[in-house]
Amino acid sequence: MSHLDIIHVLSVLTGNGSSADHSHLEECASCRRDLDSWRPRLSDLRDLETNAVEASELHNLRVLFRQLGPASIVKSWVARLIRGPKLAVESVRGGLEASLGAYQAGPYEIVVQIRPSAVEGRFDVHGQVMREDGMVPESTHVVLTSLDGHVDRAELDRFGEFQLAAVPAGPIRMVWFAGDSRIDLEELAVGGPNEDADR
Amino acid sequence: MTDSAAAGLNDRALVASCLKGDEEAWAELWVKYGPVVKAVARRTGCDAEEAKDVLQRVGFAALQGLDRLRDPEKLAGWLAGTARYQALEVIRQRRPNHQLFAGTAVYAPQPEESIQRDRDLITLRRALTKLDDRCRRLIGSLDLKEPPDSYRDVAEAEGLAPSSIGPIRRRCLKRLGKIVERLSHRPSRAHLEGER
Repeated sequence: MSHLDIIHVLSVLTGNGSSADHSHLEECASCRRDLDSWRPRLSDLRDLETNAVEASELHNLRVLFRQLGPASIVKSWVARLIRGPKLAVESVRGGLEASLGAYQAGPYEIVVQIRPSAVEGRFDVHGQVMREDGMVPESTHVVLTSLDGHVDRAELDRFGEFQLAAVPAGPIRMVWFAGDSRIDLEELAVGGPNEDADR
Repeated sequence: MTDSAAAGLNDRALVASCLKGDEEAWAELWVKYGPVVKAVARRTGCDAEEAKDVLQRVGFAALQGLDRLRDPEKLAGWLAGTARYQALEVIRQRRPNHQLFAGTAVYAPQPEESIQRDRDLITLRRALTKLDDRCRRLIGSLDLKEPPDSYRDVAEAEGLAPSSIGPIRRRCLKRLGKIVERLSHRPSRAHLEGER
């Protein structure tokens, strides 16, 4: 028994099949299986076609890479905890779940405060970045990511402060970008046990 | 598809090149998987504009997370999962009253069915990248476009005889089906039986 070829199968799927195609399908289980395998495939193909990446989107992604990609970074540091959250936690008004840590990275000092958010189950991350000479580093922003895909970005204001709202609980990573410099903070646990607290 | 040296690299090589600062590899990564990211966002409930936002957010997350991918072969799955998460985040932020799942987006379950659909989408995207450009153009013009182009128009654009378009289209679709089945590790009926 011969079978419907692929073009006829697709014609049926797009509503353009002939009566002969439909009659054949009624008798041919193999062709029906073929039709069933191409139905989601055709739908996926259309989804991919509809959602092709536009030139402007690719441009934006390239800019992102130039600004934050590995090639743009000349100097990088890993921030070192100098005042731990365990001590600081008591100085944070409003709750036992809040924590405060101070870090040093090259010529920068960073303070990170984590406290419960207005959104249930989430946390706000607030902090400040200053140079050792007391100046606010220009053009600096912070990127917060979590393993499950949360990502947020904030610019430093004129006081060197930043605010990241409604961060989900779990391990997070924060990176500051200041010109050609990058500062990585060790992974933190937001809303859960913090390894830093044991130091 | 970009014409860079990065075109055709497998995911492991793409990630390695990105980590070395190769912008072309980065662009290639998004030409390859950007449509998957946006399609997952749309399926999660985003509109077209929100899906664009999701793409940039996933790009951002990828830039921060590439070095953490212990197995770059899982890149596509990670991108799809991150796209789903970011899509829920975008909806939560832009449409606070929109009903998502019980609880917050963070705890939203990923049904096995959704994951399988992501896998199928990724497999198809990979299969498309293994097709030659002409096959991709033909399938786009004749099977995906609404309404499809005529054989005459396609023949003229491709510099081919109109009578050759049907057989070429058929070969392209069969090739695509075989690549998908090979990538999915499924047996192909075409290997076992003849076709009309």
